[in-house]
Amino acid sequence: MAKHDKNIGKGLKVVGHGLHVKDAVEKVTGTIRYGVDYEVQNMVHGRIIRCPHPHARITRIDASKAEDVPGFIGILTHDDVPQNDWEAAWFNYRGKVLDGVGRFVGDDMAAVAATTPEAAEKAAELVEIDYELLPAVFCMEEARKDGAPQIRDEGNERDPYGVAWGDVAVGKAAADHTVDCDIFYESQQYAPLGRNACIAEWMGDRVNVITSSQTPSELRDGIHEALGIPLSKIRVQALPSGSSFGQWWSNNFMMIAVLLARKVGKAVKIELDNEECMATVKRRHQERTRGSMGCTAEGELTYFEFDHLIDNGGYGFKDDVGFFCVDMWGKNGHGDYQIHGINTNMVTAGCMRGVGDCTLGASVERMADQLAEKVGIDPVRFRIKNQIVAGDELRMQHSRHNIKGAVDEYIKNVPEHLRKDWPELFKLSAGGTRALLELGSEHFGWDQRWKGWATPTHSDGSIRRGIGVGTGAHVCGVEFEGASNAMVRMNPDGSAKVHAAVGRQGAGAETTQAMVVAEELGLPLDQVAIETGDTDSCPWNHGSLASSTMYRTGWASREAARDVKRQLLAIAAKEFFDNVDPDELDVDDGEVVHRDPAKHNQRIRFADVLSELRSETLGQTSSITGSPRVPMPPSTTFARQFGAQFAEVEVDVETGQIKLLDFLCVQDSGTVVNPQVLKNQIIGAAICGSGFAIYEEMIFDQETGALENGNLLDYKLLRCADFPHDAEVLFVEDPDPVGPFGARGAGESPIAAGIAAVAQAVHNAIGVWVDMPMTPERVVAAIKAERDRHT
Amino acid sequence: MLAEHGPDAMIWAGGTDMTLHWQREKVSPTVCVDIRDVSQLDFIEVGNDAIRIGAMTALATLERAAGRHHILKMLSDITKLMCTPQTRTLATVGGNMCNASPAADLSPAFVALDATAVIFGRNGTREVTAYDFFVGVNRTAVAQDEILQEVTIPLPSDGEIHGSYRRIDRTVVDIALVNGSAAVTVGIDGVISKVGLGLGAVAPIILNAPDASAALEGTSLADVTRDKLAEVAAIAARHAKPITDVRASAGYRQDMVEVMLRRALEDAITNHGGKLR
Repeated sequence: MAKHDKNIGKGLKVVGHGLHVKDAVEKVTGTIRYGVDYEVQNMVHGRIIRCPHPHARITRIDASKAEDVPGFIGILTHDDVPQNDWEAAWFNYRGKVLDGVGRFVGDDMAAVAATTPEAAEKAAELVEIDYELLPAVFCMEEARKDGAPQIRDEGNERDPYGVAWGDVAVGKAAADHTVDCDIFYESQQYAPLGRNACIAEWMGDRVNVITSSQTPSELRDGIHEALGIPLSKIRVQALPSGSSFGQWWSNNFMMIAVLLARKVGKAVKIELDNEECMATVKRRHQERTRGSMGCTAEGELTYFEFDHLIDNGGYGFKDDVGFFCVDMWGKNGHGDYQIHGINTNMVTAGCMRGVGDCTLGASVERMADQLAEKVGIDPVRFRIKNQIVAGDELRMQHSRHNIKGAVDEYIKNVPEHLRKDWPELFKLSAGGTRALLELGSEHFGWDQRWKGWATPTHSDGSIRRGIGVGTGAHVCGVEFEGASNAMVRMNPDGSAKVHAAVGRQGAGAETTQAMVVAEELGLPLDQVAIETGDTDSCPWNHGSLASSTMYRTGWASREAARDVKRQLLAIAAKEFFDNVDPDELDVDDGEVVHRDPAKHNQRIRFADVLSELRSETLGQTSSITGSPRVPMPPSTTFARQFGAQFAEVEVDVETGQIKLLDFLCVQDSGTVVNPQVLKNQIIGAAICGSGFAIYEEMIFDQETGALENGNLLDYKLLRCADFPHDAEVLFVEDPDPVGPFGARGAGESPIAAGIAAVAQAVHNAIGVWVDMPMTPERVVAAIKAERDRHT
Repeated sequence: MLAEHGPDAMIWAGGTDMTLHWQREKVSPTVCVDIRDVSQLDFIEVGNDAIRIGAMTALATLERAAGRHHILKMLSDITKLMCTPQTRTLATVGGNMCNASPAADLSPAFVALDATAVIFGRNGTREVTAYDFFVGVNRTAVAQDEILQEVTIPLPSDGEIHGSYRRIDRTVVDIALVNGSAAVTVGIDGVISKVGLGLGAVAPIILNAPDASAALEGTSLADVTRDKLAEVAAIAARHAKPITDVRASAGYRQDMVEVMLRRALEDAITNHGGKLR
């Protein structure tokens, strides 16, 4: 069993330091290249023809008018497309690239290629398509009914995903107070500032794909599935994506670029415009929580019962959101929750940062707050009383009908001697919210500022101020689709290159992965470079999703570096240190040294060790390549990240406008590899969560499901100036027994915590719970409804 | 040139709205008359009887003129709500007027301040009131062969004018969901001699409310109460004919225009040194 060593991650030379991100100069000077910036020689331009109907089948395509457009090259229709299903990571997309059926307004129907983007756009407009209109359904409840129009061959709804533990009837009997909820969540949009493009270039029967993606390996897998060609013939060169939040994984427009390029025999670039990015690629699901929770008179939770719906739109296939919030509140002994994934004729949906945490998680936080209010316990203490700490059981692994089997099998397949150092599975290995809440409430002055539930901290005219606290948890990556791998190569000069297929969406992975390797190899950071996007050089990796980058890929990068180090020290021991046991040696500042400081006068440069390797192999081996040599333990079964956030808001009860006045974020992601990077990520999450709480909402046409606010004027993102400029981030670093130098995941718990904090603060300011987004109009309506209820 | 090319010709001032209209194919001019270098239209003059603002004054220039007169301070505060600092260096006062968005921020203030638009054409100049300047969404009183030359804000000779502008917005960069402006002139005798109101984003044009203005005119500054201003705002809000769109519902706009006008009136009275009860 792994020891819970509190000193992991202390006193390191690279890890733990706020070093500049590697691409800072490129970003600031505008020389970094994203998908839209890239070009290849002689490339032509593709434009996707989109479905004008919510549900329709093509009966005729006539491109004769398009052919007359100067520069027109060719058209791709469903007749040209292999009828294979391809699947994006985590059930984010399942379907054929084109199959002649449109399942939402804006769906991909065909694509044209032309010599210029303008000609392609003109030609796309002139392609005539006749449709047979099919009945459409936009509402999840309607889509579940017998006789509802069926959007997919698999049906609109599959078996629910569920977790149950204890006996809910016992939990209900033990409850002195209960609360019920029925809350609907609107869709949030990734709202990328950077858009995306994909270039596909065939070389004989091999294809090279250049695009911005967080999941290079999964994209290669998707192309393999869609086209049915060997993985060895597909090369993905993933570029930085800029803000992505889950949008740019593997997307159908990339598949279209690949097939259109093959059809026309030229390199093709498809560049999406802003509206296409917002209205056709993906979105956060619309969700609905119904459920109840109960607690004793002392405020101890006794049961959870949830029935939660998520709307996948046309091609999403997800049904497993939301277990982390249930884990976090897992001290109670009885629970039952079911998640139903449902397809509709809405814009296709997928995972967005904090999937489930921002919706079901927000419902759980709100219901817990309502119970705390009934019992008369303040929200900080209620959380401390009911949320798990290290050693407590994790609920998500109970009765997971579609995944538990896979975990058990994974565990069984690992030889016992390799499992002996694993943490205890199905229990939280490190961290928790308690330390965050204690530190945060002290720093925020919670006890001094708290005036009681539904009681403003300040009241003047139409102004009410209130404070709130929220918590969030998430996994640190998942193992179910394969263990993320990484490779480290030490070059003849002693410098090192990391090959790890992760995303570069602004979370600093290109820097923090290199920092982990630099620390392990005793190299300064500038001696370590990284390749993140090229699937021809990087081993398979899950990519940057599910908060896995630092935890799972970071683990693999460190293990790969350990393997390099082991080989390096073995050569050094033999050639330079009189055949001592290599364990007696260590690395320090690019040199091999004796572990015993008394013998530190002998220092051998890495380059000299590599040179010895070269001469011994007659030049055949000039570098050292390292990979993980042991399997990573299944981290979903023990590792979690936690966030707690404190907010003060000001509500104008006449206009309903909400201002954020004060924000404190406290985060437990284990050892912090780069505090500057992580601080940015946490603040970004708090802004994104606050936006979800008060403004962000995709507005759809009631009749067609078409997006009505597919632009950044009317899709309201919070700007920096909408967020307190002096918001603070504090870290509690409870080191992880498995993660690199004690680090865990980080990206998703903080968005959930911010949402809950703002929602509760508004409640405390005005005495009413408002469904999100708490737009001015909704706030005014909620206050009015409450007033009417009392008169 | 405008006369020669007819409806295919359009004026290019700052181009910040034009670019968007062009991209969205709301306009498709074949000739753009670029007047960015016409420096004679780029001025702010503060006189005894009026403030004159040239049509080609950049919003950023107006923003920096706050120290020159308290009415310019009011307008400067409004420009700070408009678009972004970068865009304000390009966008012009005249362009904003001529774009004639019902949600424009400066327009309700000009209507409340009873400003005059000076329009230049082949037969010389003519003047229309700010209220008459706006004739519909993106439509103004400027004819095809004319351009807007300047906006003149009259200053009272026998008293003082103070104004205010309020709007509902969402984030720091937004257009108004609904807005309201008030300008109140108090004579040397302490009696309110003139009240101007401007209501934005509640009709295709910027509305005024003469009946509401009249309800306050003639009142002594010392007698103005919050209740009185609420009553005036309620009368004014009856003129509103808002619509529902993705930004807000008609009902919310209807309720909020009253709140905005009331607050704008309260500000204007407070700026006069009035003590509200």
